Amino acid sequence: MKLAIALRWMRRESRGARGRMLYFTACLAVGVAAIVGVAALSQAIENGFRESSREILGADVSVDARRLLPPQLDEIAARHSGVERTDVLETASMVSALGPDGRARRNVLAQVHALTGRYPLYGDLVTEPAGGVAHLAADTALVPADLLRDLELEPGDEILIAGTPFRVAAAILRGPPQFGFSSMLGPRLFVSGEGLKRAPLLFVGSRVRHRALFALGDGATPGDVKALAADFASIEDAAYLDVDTHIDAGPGGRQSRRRLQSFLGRVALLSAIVGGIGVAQIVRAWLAGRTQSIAVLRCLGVRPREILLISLGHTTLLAFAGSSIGAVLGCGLPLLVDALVPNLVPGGLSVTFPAVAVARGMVIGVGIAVCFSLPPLLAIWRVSPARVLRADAAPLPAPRWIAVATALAIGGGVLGAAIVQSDKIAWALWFTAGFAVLVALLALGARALIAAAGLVPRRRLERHLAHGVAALARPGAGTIGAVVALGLGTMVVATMWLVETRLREGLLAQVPPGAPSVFLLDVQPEQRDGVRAALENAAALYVDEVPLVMGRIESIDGRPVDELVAEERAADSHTADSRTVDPSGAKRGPGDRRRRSLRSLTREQRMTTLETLGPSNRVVAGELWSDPDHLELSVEQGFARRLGLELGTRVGFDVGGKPIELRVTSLREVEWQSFSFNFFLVAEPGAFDGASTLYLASGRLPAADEAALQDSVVADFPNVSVLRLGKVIEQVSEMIGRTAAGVGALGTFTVLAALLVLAGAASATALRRRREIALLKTLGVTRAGVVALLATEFGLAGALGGLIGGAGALSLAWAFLTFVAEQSVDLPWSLLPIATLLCGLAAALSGLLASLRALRVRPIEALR
Amino acid sequence: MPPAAIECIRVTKRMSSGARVLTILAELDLSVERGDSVAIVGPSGSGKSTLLGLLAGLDRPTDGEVRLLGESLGELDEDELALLRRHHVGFVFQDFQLLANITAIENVLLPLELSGADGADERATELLQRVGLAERLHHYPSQLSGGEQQRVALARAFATRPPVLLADEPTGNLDGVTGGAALDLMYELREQAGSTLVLVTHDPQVAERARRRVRLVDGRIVSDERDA
Ligand SMILES: Nc1ncnc2c1ncn2[C@@H]1O[C@H](COP(=O)(O)OP(=O)(O)OP(=O)(O)O)[C@@H](O)[C@H]1O
Ligand SMILES: [Mg+2]
Repeated sequence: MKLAIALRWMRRESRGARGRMLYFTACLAVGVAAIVGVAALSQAIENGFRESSREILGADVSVDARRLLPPQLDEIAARHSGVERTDVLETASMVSALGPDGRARRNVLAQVHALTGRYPLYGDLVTEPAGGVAHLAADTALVPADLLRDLELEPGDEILIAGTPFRVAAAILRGPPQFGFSSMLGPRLFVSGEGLKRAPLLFVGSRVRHRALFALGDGATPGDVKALAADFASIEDAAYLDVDTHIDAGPGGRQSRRRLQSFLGRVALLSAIVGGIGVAQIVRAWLAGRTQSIAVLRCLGVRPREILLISLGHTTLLAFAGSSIGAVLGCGLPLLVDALVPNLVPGGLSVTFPAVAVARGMVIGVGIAVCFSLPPLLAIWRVSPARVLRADAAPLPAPRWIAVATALAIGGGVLGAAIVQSDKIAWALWFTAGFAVLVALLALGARALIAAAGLVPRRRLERHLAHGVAALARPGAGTIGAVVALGLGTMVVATMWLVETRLREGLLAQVPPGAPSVFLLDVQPEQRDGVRAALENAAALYVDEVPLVMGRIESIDGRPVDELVAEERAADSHTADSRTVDPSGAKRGPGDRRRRSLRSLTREQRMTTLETLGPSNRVVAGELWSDPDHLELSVEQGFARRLGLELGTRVGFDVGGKPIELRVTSLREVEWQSFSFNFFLVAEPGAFDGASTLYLASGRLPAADEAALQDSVVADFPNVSVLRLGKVIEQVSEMIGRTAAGVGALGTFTVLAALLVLAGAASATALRRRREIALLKTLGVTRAGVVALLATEFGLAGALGGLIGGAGALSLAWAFLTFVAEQSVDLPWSLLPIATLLCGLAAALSGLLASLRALRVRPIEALR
Repeated sequence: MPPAAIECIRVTKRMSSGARVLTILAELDLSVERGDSVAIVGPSGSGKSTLLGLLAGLDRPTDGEVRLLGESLGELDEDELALLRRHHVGFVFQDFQLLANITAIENVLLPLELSGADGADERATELLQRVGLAERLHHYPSQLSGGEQQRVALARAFATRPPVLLADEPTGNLDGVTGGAALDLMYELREQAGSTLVLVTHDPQVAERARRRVRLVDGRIVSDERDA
């Protein structure tokens, strides 16, 4: 058949099918909008980060460690031209305002950064009065404006940092952005290098991070930056250094951002597939209304495959239109988000045209439309041309290949979409299998409920209900598809909500009754008694204290760590570079884990000595302190695995310059979520005698009394930091809440798609419905009566979807919380009636809207 | 001598209705010459429509052979049957069977577009003028009366000047006067196209206009008469 004719036929096919085409396009648009929207937003966020990555890092290259930086840094920097260096000592401390009684007042745990050199190397530090770091002297500090407000201070006033008075030289209005974990450490103050020395913060074992920032100047190419970083990374015996460039660094949270983005992308995929169900429904209903025409066409000598091609062409054009609309909407999402949440990311969103995302969305949209409309279209082969002579001519037997093609089309469609969306074939296979099982279960549930509805003795029911039930039970009403789609949508949203609320509740409830709620960090040996007394004065329960020793691993079974590190480097040199080579950070190979182990090999470790283990520890191999002849070490099992430590392994430490060798005699399993203090490495009491030791004190007291304790501790022991667990948990919980809100919003797209499926099914059967409505009207049912009838019919289908989706959500959430989050759950059964009711209402509304046209038709037009 | 337009050789059609097997046509032999016009008459349920469906390859016999223009239909697959109908067979039905979502002229265009004929638009317009619907070219079937719809159907059936025209109760849904007019039109168009006509009816007056009348009762031919 000629293309021109085919096109003409397609155009004719569109006539009088406005409703159908509208829902068809809408079903696809919603899904594609979700897919493109998520990708476009992710891209805008990443762009924002990338564009401001220098400002975020504050440098081209940053080198940091928990101990003094090696002198070679300067030699290497000198070999590269135009390198400028700034040093930052990063620590945390309590800061306070000075009360009228001369004591600390309003204490806040803050980050204190001591600067030597120009700062920031990139970006701005805007202060009031202006001047930035030029204000810094030995006795001055720059303090964030927010913090000043909280402390009721103004520039010129005095502020206490670890008990030492500083003059507030200026308020910081805007500085290099911080986010993710570091932003949760508290407000950030700047002092000078000499200033920091005045405060009691640089004692042995204090939590100081030494950082050197390097700028190469504006003319530097990414290659220059990477070359400098590579030189730093290759310093002999200095594997403990963390070298980051603004190009790959990516701010710490990148990995978790990626994970979130891909998760959101997958939720979006679900709405696209629900849209596909709608497409299948609409096409099927369309075909049912066209059976007679198809018979006539076949009688006139049109071959089934020609009818298929024309229908498929039509479908594809519509799919293209729908996907394009969705893509445009999706592209607009970052703009919308930017308008609604202007400070989503520190660098601000940077919106560019997401070409790849659009292409992906279009491929998925059109692909799903074609794959999902193919199975119903294959029914063309079964339409007997003999229908032109007898309307009830038996359908032709289906050619065997049709069943195969149907399964291939649907399965292939879902799998293909999953592959395109995730780039991961294994995951896509799992997704497809999971989706198939889920849909099968939902369909089974829907079928059972519909069958049950058919059994209800209708005569006993109220008139409207009876009609609704009859409509549900009517064969070929397309109800199952709509119910399944709505069930899926409801399930996504309800599961998200359940998991989120339960996780947060679990988190908040997780400070177990017997666990401490306040931690006092960096207690010096001579402060132990005082701090304990302060806790006891505050009537704290479960007052406890553990010693803390800083040390690093020097040798394993007598082999120097540097040797092991070099070996590992050699064995895996290409992965060692991978982070400078692959700025996207997208691919994380096996070298990643090794790099982590290498770091933990050489990093300063916080260790403790304990007589007995706390309840969150369980010995899984060996026995605690069982060898009288050696100094013993107990290692967390995951840590041991990464370093290759086994029972009997000798581990040499450097503790404050003194070598100590311990023997591994037990491995432990640790329950990290327990919120008590846990350590990878625990040594036998007495193992570190003579080494400088800090103490960590803890206790539990009512939240209301925490502030008072904090004030008294800070006043007497300025260097001690007070960590209040409740506040930290609040922040974490808030972060979970924000993430869940995003996922939930996306889940709504799925529900929206599902409602469209329902409305589409309603509109697709408009022809039949018009007759029905006309008949009802002719029989004397008022318009309000007809509306009530229809509302009950759609409402019942919706309620069914809600019920099934709610039940699915409860099971899924239960499974997730029990097996993944390992949390005991108490599920809210009230979800079932609520979901049922809400979906029923939404469905009634959308169904009525879709039937508006049919409602308006005068009986005579529909019945002739 | 060219083969007959239509040949049925011992054609049997059985259908199962529930547990029972009905024999609708029983070893029926029938031959129709080219250019002839045959009316198939008989009481309701005697198998007339079933026979017509077999002649067009819309359905397949349980036994026996149907030949259309020399082609044995049993050897053709669905696609080949479709092509045969496309190029050689026209249809008129009792309930018109116009496509509802396209206009009168588009319905007539349909077979022309299919056969890839040149000047399709002119031919369709001319045909609709001939059947007296020049004013109604762009009306949809639902906007036409029954008689008008049947005239559109006639125009569609003859659009490609098919060698064989099959009609099932073409006047069944029309009143006497309208039916008569439609019949006149059909014979006139048939004359111009030179088609072989096989027409099913239970109206003796309609049957009288054909040159040959075959009477069917319970799936068997009980009489076969021809005008002198
Ligand atoms: N698909 C079928 N299944 C069962 N029986 C059938 C089927 N098709 C036709 N029949 C039966 O075959 C017989 C002949 O039907 P057919 O339609 O050919 O009759 P007809 O002569 O055209 O009748 P009428 O004049 O009423 O149109 C009828 O008894 C009919 O019920
Ligand atoms: Mg009949």
